[in-house]
Amino acid sequence: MGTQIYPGRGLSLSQLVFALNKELDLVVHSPSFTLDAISQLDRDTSAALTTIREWRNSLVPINRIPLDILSLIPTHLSSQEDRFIATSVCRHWRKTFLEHGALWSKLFLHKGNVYVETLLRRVKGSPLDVIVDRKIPTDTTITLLSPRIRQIKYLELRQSSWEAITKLSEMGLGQPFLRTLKIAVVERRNGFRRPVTPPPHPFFSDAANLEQFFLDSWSYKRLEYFVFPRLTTLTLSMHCTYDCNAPDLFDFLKASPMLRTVEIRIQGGNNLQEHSREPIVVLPNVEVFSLHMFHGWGVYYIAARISCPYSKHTSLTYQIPDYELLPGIEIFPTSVTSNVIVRQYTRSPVEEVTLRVEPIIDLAMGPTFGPLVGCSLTFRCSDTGIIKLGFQVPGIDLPQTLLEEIGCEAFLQASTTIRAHPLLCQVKHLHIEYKAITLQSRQLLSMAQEVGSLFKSLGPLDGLTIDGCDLHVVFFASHLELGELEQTIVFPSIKELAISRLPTGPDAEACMEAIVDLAESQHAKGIPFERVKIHATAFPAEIVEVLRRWVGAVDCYED
Amino acid sequence: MVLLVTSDNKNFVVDREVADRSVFVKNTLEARGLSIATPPMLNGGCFELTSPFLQVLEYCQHHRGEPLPTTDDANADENRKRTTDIGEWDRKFITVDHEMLFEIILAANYLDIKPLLDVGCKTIGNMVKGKSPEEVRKLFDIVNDFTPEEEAQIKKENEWAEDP
Repeated sequence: MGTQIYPGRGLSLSQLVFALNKELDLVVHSPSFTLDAISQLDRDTSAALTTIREWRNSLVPINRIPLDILSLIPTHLSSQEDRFIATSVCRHWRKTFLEHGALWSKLFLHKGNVYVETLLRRVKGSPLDVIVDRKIPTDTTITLLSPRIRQIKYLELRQSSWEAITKLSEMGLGQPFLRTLKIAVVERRNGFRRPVTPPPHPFFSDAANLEQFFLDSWSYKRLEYFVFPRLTTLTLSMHCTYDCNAPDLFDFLKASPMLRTVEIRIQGGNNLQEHSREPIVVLPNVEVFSLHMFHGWGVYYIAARISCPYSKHTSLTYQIPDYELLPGIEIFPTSVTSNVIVRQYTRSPVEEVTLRVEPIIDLAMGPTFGPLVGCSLTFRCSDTGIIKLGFQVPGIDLPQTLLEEIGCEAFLQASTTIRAHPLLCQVKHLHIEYKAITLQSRQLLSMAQEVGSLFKSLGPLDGLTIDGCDLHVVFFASHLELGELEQTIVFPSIKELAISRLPTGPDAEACMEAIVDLAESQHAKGIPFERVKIHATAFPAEIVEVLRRWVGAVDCYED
Repeated sequence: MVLLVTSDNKNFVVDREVADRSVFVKNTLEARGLSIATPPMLNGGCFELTSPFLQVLEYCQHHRGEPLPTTDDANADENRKRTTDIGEWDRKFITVDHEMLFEIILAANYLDIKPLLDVGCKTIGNMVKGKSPEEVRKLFDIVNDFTPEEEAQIKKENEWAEDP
């Protein structure tokens, strides 16, 4: 580097610096050189240095990347702080990233006017995501924002009071270009509920084209304050401790006929009694409907007052604490309610039913109680619509005996719901999975009786899947000396039988023998299995050989 | 099979399915009805192409048959950008020195392989994440070229930048 000759000068770098220094020395010691002149020299030197450094930076490998690609890099920085830092690295990055307005679309109004001014300058004509956290914006902030109000596509009010919502609504933040509105309301101050004055007309009423609305509030009653006729997505999180008349929810849904996705999460109870005779709310465009209650009953009652005939995915689930799990409680809806639900959320016959009892860890479903015991009943229709009914009990610290009771009761009720359902006569596939807990002989016997009744009510099946160790005991109860069954389990005609996770202990061989006996018996009745699929840790060759005599094909999969 | 010739005259014969990972190659082949393409002359051929091209081919081989991102789905595009997660295979694949990383990005851009371009940009994004300007400069051999006045202005603007 030291010997490099610079074009036009014929000097090496050290010679150049030496010559400049000498020249500078002469100038500085001249009597006409003043303090101002030295300051000017300092500034010029600094500017020259900056130019040299900028020129140097243009040669580093990362800055050889074309601008359009370089500007993509901050789009992968989700934190605004990182994006600000990226603009502080060098002039080239700063210029590139400041040109890219979309990088600066997220605007936190509570961060002060210098910040707001900076962001508004950077965002140019790009859409704005405005976030208001707790504090009501000052008039100055709103004045800064006013010329850009039509750029706001997303507005989020975090931990907001109704006073703030009122003010922001009056400021005109709800305008025709707003597409998403997200509001989380704080209803209490110092432990007391704040009085709310109903607005003379709906909040953000100018947001006539709003598509997505998220509301986290304490009451359905607050839904009265909003009307968005073109809404396509509704996400409600309700902490219903008072004023929870479900009809307020129904009225809101009725006023939003274009809804395609509805997700409602409710903590607390509901009052439905007085309005149970009101007409059912039909949502003809809804494709995804999800209703989850964290601590309270009534999920099926609310669902029965709504109809989403074109829903492709319906999920109706609830969670209850263990102390509400009393013997004989209604875990799944009665046959009347389940008929209503299946009829109102599907258009075509149910072809596939899955009954599943399992321990689940799904933090998204609720507060972090720890592992949950869940049971679900899923109906899949011929038009691919799916309805899932489910309940969960926080499993932490639950005694084993209670878990056994829950598992058994859920299984029995789910099975009863299936067999009592007149619309399920066209079920072609039945999947039964039991992955939760080991059961006692008494419970297994009652499950076996129930399975017997279930099989009686079903027509011929294209497929039956049995998954879970204890279940094999149920199906092959007579082989395993569980006790006396009141009735023998008679299997319907089944084209394909799939069995997973056979027991590994002493019951393993008995189960395999039971499968062979079953295959032989079906063959003798003239309804042989076309195919049997078995997942197990080992396959005694002689048993598989015998099985092949009675079925069309046997597929063995090693677990 | 498709014959691809790089700017430094190296020949690569690859399956059509692999070649089609590049929208550039795919469109060229479809438009000309040819089985041979002579694509990339990157940056006027100022650097060796074979080395990044081999890497790009490896990527295309691994991801062959996967659905290509659609250009008309703006939301998907936005989501794709915002996710900073990189799959395990991709992460190992892109663990290369800076020079190679930049060349892969350039090649992915030229050949129009959006998922690979994303992986490259996400990787750089992940390198920048959580670092101070000085640390970023050190990482990429950049020097601070702001004047003191500019620095003062930046400092003022950045005071409120911390995430909530």
